[in-house]
Amino acid sequence: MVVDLREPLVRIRGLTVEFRVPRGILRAVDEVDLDILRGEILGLAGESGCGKSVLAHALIKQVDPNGYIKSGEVIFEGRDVYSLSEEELRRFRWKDVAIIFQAAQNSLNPVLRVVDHMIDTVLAHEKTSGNDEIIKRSIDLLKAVHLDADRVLKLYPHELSGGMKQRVLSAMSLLLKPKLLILDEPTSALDVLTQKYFLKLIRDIHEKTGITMLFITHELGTIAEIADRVAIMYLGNIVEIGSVEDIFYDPKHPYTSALINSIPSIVGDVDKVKPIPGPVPDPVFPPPGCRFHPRCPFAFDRCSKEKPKLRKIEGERLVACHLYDSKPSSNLTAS
Amino acid sequence: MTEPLIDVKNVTKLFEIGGGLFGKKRYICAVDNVSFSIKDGESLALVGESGCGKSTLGRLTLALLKPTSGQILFKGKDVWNMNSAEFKEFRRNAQLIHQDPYDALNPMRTVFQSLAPPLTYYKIVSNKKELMEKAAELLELVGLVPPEDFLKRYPSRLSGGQMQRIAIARAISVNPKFLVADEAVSMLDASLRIEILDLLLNLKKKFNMACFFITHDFGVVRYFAKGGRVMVMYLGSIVEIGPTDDVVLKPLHPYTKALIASVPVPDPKITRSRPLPPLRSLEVPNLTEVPSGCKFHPRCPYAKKICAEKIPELKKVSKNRFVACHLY
Repeated sequence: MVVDLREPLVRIRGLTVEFRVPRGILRAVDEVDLDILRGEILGLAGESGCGKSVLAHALIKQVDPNGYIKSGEVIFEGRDVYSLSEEELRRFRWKDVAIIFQAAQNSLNPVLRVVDHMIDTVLAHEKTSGNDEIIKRSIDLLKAVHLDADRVLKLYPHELSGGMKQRVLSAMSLLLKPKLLILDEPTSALDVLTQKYFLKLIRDIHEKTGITMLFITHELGTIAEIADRVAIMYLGNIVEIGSVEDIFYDPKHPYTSALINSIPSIVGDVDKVKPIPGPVPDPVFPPPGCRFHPRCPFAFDRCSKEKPKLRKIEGERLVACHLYDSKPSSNLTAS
Repeated sequence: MTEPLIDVKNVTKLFEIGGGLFGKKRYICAVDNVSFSIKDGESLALVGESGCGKSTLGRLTLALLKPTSGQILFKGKDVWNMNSAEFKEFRRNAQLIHQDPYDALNPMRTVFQSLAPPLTYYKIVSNKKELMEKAAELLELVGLVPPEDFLKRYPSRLSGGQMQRIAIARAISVNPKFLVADEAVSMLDASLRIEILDLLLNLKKKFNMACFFITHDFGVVRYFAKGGRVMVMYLGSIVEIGPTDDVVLKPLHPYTKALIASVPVPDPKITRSRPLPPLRSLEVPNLTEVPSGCKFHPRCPYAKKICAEKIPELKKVSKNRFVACHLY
């Protein structure tokens, strides 16, 4: 069977998510277009509050009570996620898409053993499986995440360390063989040594199963380590998408390069590190035009007036910046 | 040799845990026989993973916690044997910047109301007019201009970065000689982090303050403690001390090596070519059951027989470099 590996598994178009906050309406995700390609690890990076987590949760139609999906669509393998019934949606979550959260350690039930978690998870979605079959599947998966499966199955959550819990959850999330695994800041609560091993594990799982992943983090180092392709988000907008090499070695959007240059690392020249100029704008009252323009060293007239669209500039690279408009000068005179 | 500003001598801090009414009392050793000193105007960074005791050590150097044993000397005087005037002077001289600026400021007080008490308590100002001037001057120093815009604001009307600037302004308002910054930038976004670090570096230089900089991030250490020293802590013990760049670029202790090898680097080719550190175990031992000998030995790939038996001392291995490891 020939499958086009670059066919998108998920197609997000014009997605806008808003929240009612005391000061007004906060548009956390602003007309976002994004494809998640089959079999890739897509890294979604941005600073806190940029909307990356909201975007990922909107993908499975999960929004906090004070928020709502204003417009847009999510097409998952040809199915329109937002027109699924409650029951279809319940099955879609976890069976088609599994999420590992940042505070995942707290999502285990303290009075259930690991084995009970596994059985419950499967039975909630597949009524036919027998316990023995589920346990066998669980053992295979726990071994795949380098845990002593027979022992761990009998343990309660409090008997597991943070790193072990994260691995148990990874195994659990793969139980139903989902097509998409969303990892929302999965490493933030882990210490540095465990982090490195967890990322290696994610890579191993990816190599073995070919599962599509959306990896969300604010840590650019982690993105560099894990992602095939990277989307950079700023104040609700995706400003750039490209291969991990393109993003790190040849960033096009001024925000992407400013972000990369603002990170002191253990390699390279720390003297070249510099802050992103200007204050972070109030997300309830974002700047007009390009939302980055008040902080952008290259901003010109048009940037404060017209919002740049995310579009292809070369190969697989998409950028939302007026610097890359084909005819910036003619448009300039027009405005 | 000039006298160190802060001299920490064989300090140990035990915390009592559990017990209950009839249960047996147990202790965890958060800081275990630690000695080091900080000179006038020096930057010393302390790196370690969460739970290693680095915040406790920071609080000990500020005399916010009393050591179970050992001494903390400020300009040669034991801070726990000072008379009240000396102790007040020490308190003025040693200031803390917290990790969480949201917790450091009282939400019911305006910026001015947060800045004023230390200024009047330590008689930095003598009347209302001077107080207003000094508060405005402090805000300008930390880059919050024009000051009038900020003085009457409540913390809820400030961003995280602005709050951290206020916390810094308050800490430096009483002209301290010694600043402890406990994860002062870890709650901030990448784009703000460098700005706040630059601010701290400038103020430190301007007022010649010594800075004890506590963090888990080696990248931040390299930026802040450039030309200074770094100290690495594991389960309450100092395992390595040395000049910042030497330690980061050529770590000696197996734990430091593993830590540095694990730090993700924002460069795909470099970070993917770095091998996994060869650890024997990923599990951090429970603080109530600390391993014998070298605390790192159950995880250390180079552990020998002696490592489980004898506690390695922090010894000098080359100029300015100290390591607590039987390999050296």
